[in-house]
Amino acid sequence: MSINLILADDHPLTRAGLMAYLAKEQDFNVVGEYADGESAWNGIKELKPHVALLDIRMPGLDGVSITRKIKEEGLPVISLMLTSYDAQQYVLSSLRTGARGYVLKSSTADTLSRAIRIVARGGLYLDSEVASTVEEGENMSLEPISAREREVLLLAAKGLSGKEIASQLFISERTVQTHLASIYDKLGARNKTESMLLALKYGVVMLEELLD
Amino acid sequence: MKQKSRLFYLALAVCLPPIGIILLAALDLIYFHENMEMLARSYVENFTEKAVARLEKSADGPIGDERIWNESGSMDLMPGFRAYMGLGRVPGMMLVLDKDGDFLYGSQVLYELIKSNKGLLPYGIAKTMHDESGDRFTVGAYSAFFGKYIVVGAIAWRDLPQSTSRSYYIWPFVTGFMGLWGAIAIWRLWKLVLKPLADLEREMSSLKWGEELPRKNEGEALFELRKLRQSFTRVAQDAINRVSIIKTCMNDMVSVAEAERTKISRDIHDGPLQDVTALIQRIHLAKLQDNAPEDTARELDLAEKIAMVTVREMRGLCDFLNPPWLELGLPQALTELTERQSSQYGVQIFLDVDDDAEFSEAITLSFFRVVQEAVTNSVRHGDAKNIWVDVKHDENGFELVIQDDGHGFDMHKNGTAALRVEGHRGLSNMEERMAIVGGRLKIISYPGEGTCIRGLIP
Repeated sequence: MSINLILADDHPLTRAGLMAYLAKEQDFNVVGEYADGESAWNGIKELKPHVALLDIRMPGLDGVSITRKIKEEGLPVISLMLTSYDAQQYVLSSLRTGARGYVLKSSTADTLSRAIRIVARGGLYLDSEVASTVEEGENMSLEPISAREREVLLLAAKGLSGKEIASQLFISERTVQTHLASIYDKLGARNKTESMLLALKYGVVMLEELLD
Repeated sequence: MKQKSRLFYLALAVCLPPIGIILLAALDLIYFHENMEMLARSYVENFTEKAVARLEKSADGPIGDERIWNESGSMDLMPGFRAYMGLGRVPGMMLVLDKDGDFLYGSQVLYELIKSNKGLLPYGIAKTMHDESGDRFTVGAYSAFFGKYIVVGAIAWRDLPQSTSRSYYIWPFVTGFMGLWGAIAIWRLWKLVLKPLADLEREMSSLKWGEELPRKNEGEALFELRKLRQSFTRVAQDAINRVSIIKTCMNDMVSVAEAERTKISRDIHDGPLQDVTALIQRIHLAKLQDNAPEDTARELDLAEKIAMVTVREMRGLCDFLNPPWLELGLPQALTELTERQSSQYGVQIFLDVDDDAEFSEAITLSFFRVVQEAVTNSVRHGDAKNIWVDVKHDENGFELVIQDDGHGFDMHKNGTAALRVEGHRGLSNMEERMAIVGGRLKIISYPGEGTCIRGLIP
């Protein structure tokens, strides 16, 4: 079964490159190609592709906003973010609005194809460059994360401050910090965003739990 | 302080002559009054004694005293004495009373005077009396004929032969008045000139220029001093304006710089970074060609690596210019920054941020840029190997301390102004960053002892 795609990227050269990547795959069917967010959104509404490849930063509507609109309208379109580099906070916010993953534009054609196939099947794809500390293709045994830590992590991922998390869970702010430090340590993350992305990657939390 | 007391002594010195004049005038007045009294007394005594002597002498004559006084009751005095009693030639008044003090003969005016002074008769030593209109008299009483009669003599002061006295009397008053006038003038001088001047001086030397205005004109002061105060107010207002202009300029400069950095970062991201990304994509596509010779494949691998390095460098540049982590808050942003700087420069950075503190966006940006600049300086100029970055928030405000173990530098030889002139804007940049969020920057450095940079936002 072929996968219908649309591609939105405001930069002509990278768009052409990505188109060339996609043309290599027999089962990929690019139904629309757009240089800005507005026309991409119109294309999505009209064509309802399986997967929308959206540049995370675009003039007018950016990828994150389009993803939010897709979710709001309940369109059966899966969005996959394209980014020039892993600006983690954009990535996380796109995931929170419902994107199923992100790919670096500089990744190989194989990587892009794999990502598209994974998200089209309903999976989650996070580029391996998500965290510099994670080694490619490793299958490290993760120290289990406690239920409380998971709770803290989820609230933190939703953008709550230490103080807010503390009051919501009826614990002290100090305890929140301790939990977060422990989470970073277990995931090998350096900060909140990274720990969230790694937790997603390792399946510690589900993407659905993150949604706004 | 010394100057102020000198002003006080100066005022005192100016005051002294009038006070001296007033005292001298008072002494003069007392002395003159005593003199007058003595003179009047001796005059009265002398001339009453003479009268008594004459009376008694005439009684020894052919006309017996009994006959004189008894028959006529009063009028039949010997012509010589009567002439004397009439006092036509010399000033003064005479009065003869019987031993009970009743009027026998003589000046009615004097009799009234004595009566108005409760009939007091100053025997032997003349005394000063006042009549109802306040005129001054010196009165002396003597007994004659062994106490049978009382002879009273008096002189009105105004009739004294030294009647220049009255004009003379004016002199102490004139000098006294002049002294008083002088004192009042000095008091006014103090009130209108010296005190306002001293007040103005005290206020100006303790005025926070650029923050405060002098008080409005209050109380009395000379016109010129009021104008002077107004001028100072204008100067102070100028200083305040200048400070605010400098602050606005600094704010503008920093925000323009930030905007410019954001723009450059965006331009790099949307331009060259995309182009090189497209280049990488093309290399990937080229590598997918099966029939490429081995050399070409190797060259493509190399080209890909170079392109990847370029992308990484451009990302680094974008991150440096417009750190995306700033949105994550100060602790996160500093963690990201110091980790990158640590690996970029090969130094150890120990970061300790007070997690409990909430940092505003402005403070986050300021502290972030200060740390960025400070760490770069420590490595570039100080050749530091270890850098400690501490951020605290307590009742004194937000505090940022950056300490390194580098060479340090001579603060006095290389002040921030001097460094700026030489084209090193690092320290002034940090100062400006702190200033626009209402903070201060303190730099402590000695050659060979490292540098400590302390930013405080109250």
